[in-house]
Amino acid sequence: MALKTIACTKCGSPVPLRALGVTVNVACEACGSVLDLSDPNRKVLLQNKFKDEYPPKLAMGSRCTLEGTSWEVIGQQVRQDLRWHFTWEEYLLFNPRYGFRWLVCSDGHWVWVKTQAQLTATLNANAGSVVYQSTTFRKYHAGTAKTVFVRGEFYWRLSAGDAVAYADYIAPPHQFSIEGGPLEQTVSLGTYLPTGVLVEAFGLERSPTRPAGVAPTQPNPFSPARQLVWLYPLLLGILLAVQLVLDGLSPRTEVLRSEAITARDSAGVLPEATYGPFQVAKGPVKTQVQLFTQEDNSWVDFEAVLYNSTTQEVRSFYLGAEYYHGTDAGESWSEGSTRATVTLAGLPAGTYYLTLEGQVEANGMPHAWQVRVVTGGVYWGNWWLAVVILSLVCGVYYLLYQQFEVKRWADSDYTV
Amino acid sequence: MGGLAVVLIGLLVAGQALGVGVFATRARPAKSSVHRVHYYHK
Repeated sequence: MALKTIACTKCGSPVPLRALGVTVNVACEACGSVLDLSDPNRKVLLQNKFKDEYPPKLAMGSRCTLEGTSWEVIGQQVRQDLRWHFTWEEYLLFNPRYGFRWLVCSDGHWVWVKTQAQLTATLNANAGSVVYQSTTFRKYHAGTAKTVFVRGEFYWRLSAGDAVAYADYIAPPHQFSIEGGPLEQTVSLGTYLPTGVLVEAFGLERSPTRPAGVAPTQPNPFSPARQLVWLYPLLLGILLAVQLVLDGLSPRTEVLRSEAITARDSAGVLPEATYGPFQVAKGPVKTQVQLFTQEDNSWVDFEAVLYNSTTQEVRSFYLGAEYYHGTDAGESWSEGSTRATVTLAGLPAGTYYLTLEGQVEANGMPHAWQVRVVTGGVYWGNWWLAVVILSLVCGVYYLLYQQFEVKRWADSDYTV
Repeated sequence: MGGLAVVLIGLLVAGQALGVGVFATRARPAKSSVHRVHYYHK
């Protein structure tokens, strides 16, 4: 179908009309004059001062498919906040059956906006929020907007220096906007439109804009972090429950309890002692070798050798205890312990011998010790490591979520 | 997070079954292991 055109009243250039009968203003692309379509003489209402200052990011007449419907771009409006002087662009789209929609571009981000016919929102001005369709929108920005540039057609009468009060409320990815004064208010509902969706909708090769920063309505990619309030304790509980079940499945068994031995050192070396044989019935199993001493302001350090006579495997480790105490400036102090425990992982089943060869300070004093070997139980170190990993991941995820929200609200007049 | 928890639980169970304790004492070569093996067999 051929596009209807009219001649510009000022420059005579052909001006296409894409929504004839619905729109009342049209701007001449050639000279920037805004013509009154309701006037038989097409009088000039406005004159864009710099017609090339705002090249269209979406070409007039270009079509897209959104919400399963074909839309045609028929107008471009550039608006400016009178207080902060930032600008944004609003593209008017038209479908003969479904009417008008807006694509609003700010900082390279896009929002798909539909004007709401009936206001059924609950306004809570003091709390800075709006409840609309069961969703609470929080106040993000309010001010006065002035139209600084127009291109194409519009369905309302433009006048020079159009300025209107507006307020934006957000519930990402949605936006609730109110424009106008007490006499006439326009309410619209917007939804963040990723540039990828825009590119696909218009069949473009690449995005017409490069989004900068975080848009007020941009979905937080870390929004599942909000569930961590209940999910994190739940996961910790599950981890603990699993560990306790494992602990129940691995009962503790004392497989060796030695006699208490008292001996004097010879040049700092205690006589070697061998314990066993003792049986480890089921493996691999966690094994704890516990040393009990009566060290008193002294130390003992055993080189321990655990020999599996079934497999002829040998495990060697140190087992030491030191305990010091005294009084300093009237205050008693102590450090160390007369006990020591070594945890061995994955001990195979078999018949074992344990040999201890001790070293002490060479002073010929008597030293007493006893050893116990207990098998079974769970590796709590593994559990704590799992808890640390889970906590770190949850913590980092939550920080990223918060960081995104801080960026979102950085440009708002209202704090989070 | 759920996936991470499943992996961690799997590692807990596997560590227990295979006898892997990340903070358990590492075995090291004994200075006189060979000597002692002979000793035990006497």
